[in-house]
Amino acid sequence: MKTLDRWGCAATVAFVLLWPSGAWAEAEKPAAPPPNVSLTQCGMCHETQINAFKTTPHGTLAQSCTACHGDGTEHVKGSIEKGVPGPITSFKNRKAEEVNAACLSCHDKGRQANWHGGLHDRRDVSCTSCHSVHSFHSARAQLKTTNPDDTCFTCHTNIRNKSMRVSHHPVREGLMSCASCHDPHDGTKPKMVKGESISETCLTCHTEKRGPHLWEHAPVRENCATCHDPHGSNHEKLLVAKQPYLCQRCHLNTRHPGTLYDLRNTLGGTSPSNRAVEHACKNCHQNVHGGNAPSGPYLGR
Amino acid sequence: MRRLWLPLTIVALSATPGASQDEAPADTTFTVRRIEFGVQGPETDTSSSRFREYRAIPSGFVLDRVHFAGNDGFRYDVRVDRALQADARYTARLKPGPFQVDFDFQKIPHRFGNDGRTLHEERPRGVFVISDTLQRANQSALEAQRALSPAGVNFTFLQQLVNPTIDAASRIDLALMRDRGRLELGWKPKDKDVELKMSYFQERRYGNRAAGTSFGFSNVVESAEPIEYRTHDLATAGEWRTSWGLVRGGVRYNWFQNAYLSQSFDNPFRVTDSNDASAYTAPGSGSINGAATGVFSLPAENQAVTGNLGFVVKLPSKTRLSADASLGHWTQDSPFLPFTSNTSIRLPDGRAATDLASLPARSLDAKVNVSSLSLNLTSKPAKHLFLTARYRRYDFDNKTPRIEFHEGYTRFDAVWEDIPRVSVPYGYTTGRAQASASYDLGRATLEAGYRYDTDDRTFREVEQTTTGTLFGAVLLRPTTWIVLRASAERAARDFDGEYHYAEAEEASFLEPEAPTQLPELRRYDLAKKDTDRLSARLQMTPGGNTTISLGYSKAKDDYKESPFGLASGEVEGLSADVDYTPSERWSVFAFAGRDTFDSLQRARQSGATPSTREIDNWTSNVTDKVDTFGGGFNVVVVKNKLDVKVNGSYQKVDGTNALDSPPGGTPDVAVAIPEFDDTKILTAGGELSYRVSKAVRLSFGGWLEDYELRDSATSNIATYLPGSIFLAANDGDYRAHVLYARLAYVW
Repeated sequence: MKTLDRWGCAATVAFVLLWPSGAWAEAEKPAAPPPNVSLTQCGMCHETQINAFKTTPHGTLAQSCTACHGDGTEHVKGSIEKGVPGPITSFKNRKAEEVNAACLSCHDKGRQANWHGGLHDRRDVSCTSCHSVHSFHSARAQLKTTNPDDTCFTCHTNIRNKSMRVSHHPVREGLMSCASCHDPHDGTKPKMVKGESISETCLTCHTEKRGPHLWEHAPVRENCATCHDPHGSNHEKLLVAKQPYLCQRCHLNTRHPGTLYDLRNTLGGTSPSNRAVEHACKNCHQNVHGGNAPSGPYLGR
Repeated sequence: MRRLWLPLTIVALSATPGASQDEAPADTTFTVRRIEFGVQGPETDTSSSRFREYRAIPSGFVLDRVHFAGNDGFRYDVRVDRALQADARYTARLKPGPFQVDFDFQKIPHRFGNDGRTLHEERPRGVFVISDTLQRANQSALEAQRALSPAGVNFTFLQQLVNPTIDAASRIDLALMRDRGRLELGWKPKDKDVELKMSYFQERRYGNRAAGTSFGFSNVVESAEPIEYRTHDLATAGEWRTSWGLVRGGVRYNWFQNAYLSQSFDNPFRVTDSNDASAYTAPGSGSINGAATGVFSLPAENQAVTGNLGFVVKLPSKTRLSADASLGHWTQDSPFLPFTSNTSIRLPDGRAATDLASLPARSLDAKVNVSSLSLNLTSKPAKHLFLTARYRRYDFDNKTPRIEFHEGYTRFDAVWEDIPRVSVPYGYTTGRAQASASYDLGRATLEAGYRYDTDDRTFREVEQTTTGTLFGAVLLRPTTWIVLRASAERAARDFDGEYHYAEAEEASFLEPEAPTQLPELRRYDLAKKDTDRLSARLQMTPGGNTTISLGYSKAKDDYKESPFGLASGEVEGLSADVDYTPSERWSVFAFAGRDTFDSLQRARQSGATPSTREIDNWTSNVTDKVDTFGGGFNVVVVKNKLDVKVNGSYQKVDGTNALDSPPGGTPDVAVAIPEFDDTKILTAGGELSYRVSKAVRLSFGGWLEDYELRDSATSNIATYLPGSIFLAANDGDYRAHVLYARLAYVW
């Protein structure tokens, strides 16, 4: 027991001496100098911005407003002494490169580290094109619009129009978003998708199609976008074209694959055909993405 | 001294700061407490599944939103959206000290169609049965008619046989649900340049969807594919940042499970198994034989493990080099089904085709190695000059063994096909090298660049295609409130040598015969192609309270060396958006767009051998014209008291398929299809919001929707058509409106 007492005393002393610089506490770095203008002072004139700002991680920064806007002494002094705010760093009317440099001084990590050279960077899109530090409306990511996709739709209006089509991913219902598949900060992947390829991005949710399969459908293996438009389509299952014509772009074999199916073969026509109506080719070739049945070389089993 | 250390320790512990290292300074403390609930009443005029395709929209009491957030102690944000509904979402983010915990659970419904009619009864799950009595009655009727006159086994006869049963058939709704949950733990200590994350994700997908289960050309019996999937994902990732850049890496293991690897479905026209050479055309004048039950493979279980490693290095002259590499291994080894469920079918050597022992292998033992490499170099060597260079390579190396079926296989569970086949493990490698330079002239920035893509494929018509793309862009900023972005690119895809259509078709045959594919067809995913793209967007913000955005885009693919197949595809779009916010009291927005999609494909109809006659040609020119409009306004009627908002949107798609064929051939005539997935969608809604007090806000509102589909191939489909019994589930027109009252309480 004496041994326990000795070790216990030593441990207590060590604990008290080492805390808060103990092994399980965060390592201390030299503290940042206090801001020359505090959040409260800024809030005297910019109450709306501060109320929103302080709910964000930015609001907990040691330097708070001055971290981005610089020394605010003259700005405050001008307001108090002359009734006209003095100079301060503003991001309005700044070039994208300058705005981005300010944000990336802290956010140059994770996928944002891949920002440089990406298409958004090369098209002069700035961080503040989409995000707002203190006037944001979205629940996450501090976007300027309440609905995150409206941020993307500001420029990608054709995609907005596609998302309104009858066959669509549940983006307009708010159950998915553009960011479900894309990372607008990462320009290293094709079409800024999150996966290593377009197909791998699709397979994130549609894992049942990953295979590999006994009987493969070659274009499916390579790129889902060969047949599908993930942003929206008027044809079922987000297809880029309606069956059977989509399939007949590649299959003009003898007998029924190369046969013309026209209005007469549709509902109400003189000779409706199950190769033209409802799911057309897929009425029989159900395993169009690939199948595992020994008797399914034509993907019908 | 004895035990003195114990009370001393207790004193020390109570004197030390708490676990939260992130306690916010007093003037940044905040709390959010918000709850929104109410009642709503939706009304629809049809049973179409389309209105609730991805939504719950229940009737009665709804708990719309709960939001708790704050940083008293440690930072937290907890949200509940649409509690207890079929589209509910629950998220929580906690940040105690250097740790971050993210939790997300979401339900996503997907409704495909309501009130389908099915002869089948699912008993048990994955087994779709029709009563033996009905099967026997139908088989007997067919046998009697065939004995009388084989030509009498036609659609009229079959319709009279089947319709009474279909009229009395049970109803089925086709829908699936995704339950998705993710838990992520992160460690991101303040003032330390390291970050670690671990996450676990699971999705359960359950329900059913329409499946084209078929017994042959004249006997499609659509059924409801059982879905009971689970996807798991376990991942870990880390990042270490230094003054010279960062290093990052991670590992992920993803696996897919399926409770049902097969589905069996009864044949309404057979109670006993039989077969003959034409049984895959049954029931008809050629045959009334076939299987009493078919079996169909459902998605196989699979696994994927992926590791990635990368770094970013910062160099002088604002130069950055980043490299990322990933290695993955995919596997699939689910057991095979037997050749068939038809007990009357035997292999040529007499073995039962229903016996698993007759298979050359019991599973695929599939494996694929997937790798990617991405290199990026950006630099600003001079004040106004910016350079980028990229290289990317993605390799899908399919190592799956080829399974040889020397004896053949069965066709639609109806007949043995004595055609030896072999599986084909397609693989491919894509490579991309790109370089661009941009120069900032002050009010304008110009960019030009070149991109070179290579695509190498195995077992395909062409071993390698290459695409060279020249691109350029201009950014104009004549004033602080006008920005014009325009870009253009010209690409040409090409390949050397011949287009090996025969070899590609023969790849899956052990004893290939004459190819059946039209020799002049060029598959559009690898055919020679010229691509032109142009896009421009003008954004103006005059006065600071107005935003006007005009956009134009055009993309054209020209498959100029494709005599058959896709010949061209063109997309053109025009859009205009206006947003006017003159004061805090009101704002208005509107948008309009016209998009046109045009594609032309050339084809030729053939009989038993590929036709060489031009009069057998036909073409399909599909055009979609899409008009989209929308707009709305928000008005603060009484400041901090009464708000009104109204918004709406409308989209009309007019699709046509102009078919053409020269007279005298087969086909002799081609009749165009005017109603080709034509849709109209109108949504309009409004809300009146009254602030009773600082804590309470009442809202009254509603919206209406009107959806219309006109399509020659799917609208108002009958349950029984020549050669097919469809579920005919309703996903068509609807008109709906929803009225609601909401209360939001904040404290």
